[in-house]
Amino acid sequence: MKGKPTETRDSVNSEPWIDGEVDQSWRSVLRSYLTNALSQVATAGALIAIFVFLSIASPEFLTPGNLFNVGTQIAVTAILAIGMTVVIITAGIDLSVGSIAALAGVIGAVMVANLGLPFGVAIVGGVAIGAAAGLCNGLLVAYTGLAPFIATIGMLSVARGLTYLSTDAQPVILPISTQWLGVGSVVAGIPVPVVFLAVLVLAGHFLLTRTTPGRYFYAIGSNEQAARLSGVPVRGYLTLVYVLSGALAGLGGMIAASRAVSGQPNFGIGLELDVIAAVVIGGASLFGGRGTIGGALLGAFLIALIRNGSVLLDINTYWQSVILGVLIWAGVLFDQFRRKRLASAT
Amino acid sequence: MRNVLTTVLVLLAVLGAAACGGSTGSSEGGSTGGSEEGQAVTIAGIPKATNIDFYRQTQAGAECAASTLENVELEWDGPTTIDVGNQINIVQNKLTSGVDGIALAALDANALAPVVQQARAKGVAVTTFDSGVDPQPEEVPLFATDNVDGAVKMSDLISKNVGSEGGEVALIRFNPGSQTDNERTKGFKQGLQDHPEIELVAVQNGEANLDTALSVATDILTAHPEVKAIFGAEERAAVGAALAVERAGLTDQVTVYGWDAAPDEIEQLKAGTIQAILVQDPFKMGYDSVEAAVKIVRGESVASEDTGGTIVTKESLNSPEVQKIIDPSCEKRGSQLREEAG
Repeated sequence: MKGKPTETRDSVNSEPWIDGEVDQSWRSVLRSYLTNALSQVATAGALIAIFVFLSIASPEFLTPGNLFNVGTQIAVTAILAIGMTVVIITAGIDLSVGSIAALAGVIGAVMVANLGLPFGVAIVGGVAIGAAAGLCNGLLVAYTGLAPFIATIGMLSVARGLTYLSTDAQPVILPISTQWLGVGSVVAGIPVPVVFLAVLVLAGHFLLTRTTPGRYFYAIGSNEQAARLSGVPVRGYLTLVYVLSGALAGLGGMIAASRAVSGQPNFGIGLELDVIAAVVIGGASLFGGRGTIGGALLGAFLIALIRNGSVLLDINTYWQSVILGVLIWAGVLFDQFRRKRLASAT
Repeated sequence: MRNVLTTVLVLLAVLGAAACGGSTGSSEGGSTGGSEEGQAVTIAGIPKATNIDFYRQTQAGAECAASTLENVELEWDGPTTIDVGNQINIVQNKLTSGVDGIALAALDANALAPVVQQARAKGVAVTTFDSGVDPQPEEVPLFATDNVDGAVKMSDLISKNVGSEGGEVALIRFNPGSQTDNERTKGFKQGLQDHPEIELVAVQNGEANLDTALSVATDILTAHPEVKAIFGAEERAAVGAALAVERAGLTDQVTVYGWDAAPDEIEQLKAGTIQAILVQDPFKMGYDSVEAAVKIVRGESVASEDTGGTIVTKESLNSPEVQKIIDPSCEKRGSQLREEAG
């Protein structure tokens, strides 16, 4: 356990909130702030280093066209990473985001192609389906006490099966007028998915740092028992995080379907691993209680650069997996190191 | 309460997995070969993936054979995505459940070889379609396209279209390690050796997934602004490459070539965003492999067969020969294939 229960209660009710830490002495607050910032500095540093390296090694890298492509390619992963960050902050995990995204994309496409609904309605429909799946996850975790790993692994399977059943595993073709979501761009060529991502990043950051639910998420992740004893409605908020994660996965699925101009039933297989990697590399702790949206965004961009760079430099794709795995180790080891330092300091 | 519920759910999951997974060392249910003519025969058809259009066509052919022949029951079962371990499990489960024969499209030539030998040791008839195993036992026939030859033909066509001044081309693969992917890649590189003015500048993996192929093709176009042609060695790779070229506004400069005849690929062929595709005969593969399995169960031996690959362009798309392959029906082709087999 990190802090004393009374400290949790006092902090939740009154103290200014600095990245979810409970300890009140200013020295340890400063230290925890610095180590938290340090993990993000490390990720940002790696990101800058790779960016500079690619700019030098590949003449095509630093072109607006390529950078917008990278943005589009990572937008879906990053949007899912926002939801995953909040889930991981509560010491949970959501392994079903890839399957939920596919389900939403396929059903959304069916709404347009088979039911003749406008694409805007289908987008809302896709998000709603994602939220519904997330609700199922949340209720299982919060009310039956099922471990998040198990609950969401079940949903991974259920959602994927439903995806294949709903269209007999065939892609569902969308009319070309729907491609604005995944392929369109606004002023100065900025892709639409990147705009969505930017808005959601700001909203997520605001949620986590400036609202009561945000503080509650950190409290639940730090010490669920203490949070409950302090009067935080733990079950309700645990359910909420999975609904958020599911809804964002639904939106991601619709963006991907628009980009492929079709609902693809085998979209997103294994996507959850990229999403979790982004969140972990960005400094979140799988034990809960710490993590930021900004960190997840850094992690997602790092992954996107590695993938983009590998093709630009004609590196064998399998090296990407090796590099990503090493980065995940680095992220988790740093988090463990930081937690040991913190524990020995208090 | 919480612990009890979790325990019960975990137990149910474990039992469910055990039931689906099939136990090893249980009763040997497989029947030996040499059943008499007329005795009911169960054949398991195991494609590489059930959700790829190509394998849906093989299924149509397999079902046609099962319905045309007498007393044949077909169990069609495969992984939902490219997952070698899963396919091995399915084969083993079919063996445990006691099928008489297996028609298999091996996801990985080496990985599926031991389980094929296991099947032969139990006396179960085995035929392969689309991709065989390595080593391929003598008595196990393969009904597949000559992928090397098809890829060589494609490389010749691309070189001709690019022209004598030459240029850069790129290749998008789909499942390195499987016989089909390895052979198409080998054939393509081999064929290009006869055309030194053509340079293969990028080889990337689209993972048989449209989203991945699209991203990879987009990045290839960025990395190689002079590229003149992209060969997608599989349907998703081709569709993804065509989309990428279209979106980059490079349809005048870059031509896309594909493999197989999925509906969206055909649409792109008609629209001109794909130049040519190599069409296989999946219906025949499915049909022949099931028919051969039944014959082997009934004591005959059957030889391998090249089921053929045809290059199709927008112009030749509507010819009757091509339509027969792309859009087969059991009535028309079933009897024709039966006659061919003799």
